[in-house]
Amino acid sequence: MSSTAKKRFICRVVRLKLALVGEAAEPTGHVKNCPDCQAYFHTDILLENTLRHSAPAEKQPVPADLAATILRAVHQSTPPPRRSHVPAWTALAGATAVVALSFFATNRSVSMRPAPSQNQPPAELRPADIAKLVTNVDQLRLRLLNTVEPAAEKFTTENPLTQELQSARADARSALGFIALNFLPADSARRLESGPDSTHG
Amino acid sequence: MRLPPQAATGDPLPAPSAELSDDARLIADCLDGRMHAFDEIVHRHSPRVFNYLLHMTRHRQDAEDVTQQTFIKAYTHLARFDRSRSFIAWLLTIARRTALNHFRAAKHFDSVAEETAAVEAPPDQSLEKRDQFDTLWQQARRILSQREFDILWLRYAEDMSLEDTARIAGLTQTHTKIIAYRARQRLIKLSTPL
Repeated sequence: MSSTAKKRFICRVVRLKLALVGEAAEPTGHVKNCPDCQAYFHTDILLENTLRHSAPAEKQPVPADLAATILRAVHQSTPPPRRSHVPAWTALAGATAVVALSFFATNRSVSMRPAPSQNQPPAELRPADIAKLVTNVDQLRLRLLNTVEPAAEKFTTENPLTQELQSARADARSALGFIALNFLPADSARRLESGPDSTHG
Repeated sequence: MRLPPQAATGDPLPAPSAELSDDARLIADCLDGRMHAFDEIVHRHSPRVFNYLLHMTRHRQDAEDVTQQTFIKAYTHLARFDRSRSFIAWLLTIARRTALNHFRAAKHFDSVAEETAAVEAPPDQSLEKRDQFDTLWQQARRILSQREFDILWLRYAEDMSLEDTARIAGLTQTHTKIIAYRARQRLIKLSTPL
């Protein structure tokens, strides 16, 4: 490799390196002793400044009615963007809390009855208790369907998390089904599963 | 190509901090339901978006259409905008992606054109003559690839930071620096023929 070629290779490497890491205020190292590189960097700075200063002349006048056209299209095509006052996670947390509370409330209503002593035979659920339990679970489900679900849907109508909410609803339904399956007799659970109307009918 | 000597002074462009805070206020107003705020956003930023798209598409009607689509998208997703960042950079990111999708759908845009250089200008007498009358940006338009030109435009015409330029172009900062460096080298070669 000739001396000139080697020098030019070094120049290229130094120029690329300085382009990547940024140039020092004062020339250092190779650049300090290389007039070619000094001239190159001088031209580079000149070029950058020329590009900056000549850019305004390159900008074209905007069509007079562009802003009006954009605004008309925007207002026609989309509802106004609104900040979500109640985030989706709040609605989900509310639904979860209702399910958890109902679970504990159901357990407490069963456990508040005097505990059977060891000498007594195990207590059996009376038909009145079962009916009451069915009514409670049914009321809870109706409350969930009538209050939490519409509210959550309202908050998430334009939210990309709608699918997550739907899966949470499915989870809540499964949880209610689980409660019914484990804490209610089979026929009552089946009746509950079949819908709110049939439980009253 | 001859660079004007007065350009060497390099007066800095005004700092965009006031613009940023104004944008944040307008966005907050818009999200609170005050619709006139978005009108002001459109009036303030549509010229920059339009000019960026005009240089990208080289077609006035396409630039108008894509500008319109850009603002519709921005309006729809305004609540998602991170107000700690530059709003114009966000708009130009949407604009660039919308333009690419627009041309991809219309099958007008060849992605290879982004990577490859424009036609190499031979040292032709007529071209040299044309260079004398072309502005620096017109020469850049002619000899640089689409991507190189976009990056120079964002860096020097739109005065974007390196970070914002890289984000808009969908590249890393190092890649952006290399492309800008190569583009400048090619322009310098015009001014210093070997």
